[in-house]
Amino acid sequence: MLVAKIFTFPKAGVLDPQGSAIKPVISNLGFTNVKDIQTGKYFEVKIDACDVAEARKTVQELCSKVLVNPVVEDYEFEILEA
Amino acid sequence: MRCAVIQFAGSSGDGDCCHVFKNILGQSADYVFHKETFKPADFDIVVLPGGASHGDYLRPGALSAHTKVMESVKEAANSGKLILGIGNGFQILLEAGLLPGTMLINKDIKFYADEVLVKVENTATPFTNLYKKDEVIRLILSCKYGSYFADAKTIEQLKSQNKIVLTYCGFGKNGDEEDPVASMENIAAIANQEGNILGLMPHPERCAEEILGNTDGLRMFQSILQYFEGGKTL
Repeated sequence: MLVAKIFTFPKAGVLDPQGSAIKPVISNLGFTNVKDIQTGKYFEVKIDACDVAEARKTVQELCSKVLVNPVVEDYEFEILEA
Repeated sequence: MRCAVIQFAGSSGDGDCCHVFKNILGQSADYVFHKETFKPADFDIVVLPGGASHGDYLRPGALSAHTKVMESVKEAANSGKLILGIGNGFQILLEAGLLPGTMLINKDIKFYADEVLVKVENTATPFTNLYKKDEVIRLILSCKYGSYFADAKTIEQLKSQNKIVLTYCGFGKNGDEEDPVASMENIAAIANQEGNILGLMPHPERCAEEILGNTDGLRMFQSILQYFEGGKTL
């Protein structure tokens, strides 16, 4: 069994109001070295695949069909042993 | 006119839409559950109602767009049947790829629920033929993800093909509240290239009879009736 850890985040230039709302709070807390913050989503998917290549293909199809909205989101993932 | 109103898990505008078609317009309206399919030939118009279907989990409309019934909705859309997506129904049409673009969260991250002033940009559609061009009407907006977004090419296509059907021109009862949604080009409704699919964010079914204090939405449903009675030309 393999586990895919998938991160989605807004494409560059797409407004992220949640990130914008969190940023001033962080500044108020004194984290002056935090220059920007962006929100996204995290999915952990268990995949029954023979090898990493097969799991990668499944993750890419899963992301392009439903998990990611290609109009406004990009994604990255890594595949690990469960 | 035979209307199918789709019931997704969590739909809340289904009853109101059915009520308008049956009790106000005196037409036939049937519910179709999202786990079912239907024959496109059995209906003239398919309504995807509002209400956070499937809890808006993942993204608004994303899970509903992959339900069983959407196979029939796509078949109906491709065969030229009228498809009307209201609020979350619009988001489902976007996620299903039946209309271009997507909805982002409102710029102030709040759920907005109030009247809006909307300008009718295109009256040559089956959904707006009883309105006047550039007429400003009052509708009800009720959404958290109401900020229409599309790439520059899509926006250019919508404009050049005259597929932007309604635009926001004022928020709140007097139209003087700050814009909470920040839709690109102030888009409140768009149609597909063929003109048989309309997605709109405001709710016409919530202002379609006197008892609700506003009847500006009724003409959208009457327009659909007029379209069928008048000989069905897009």
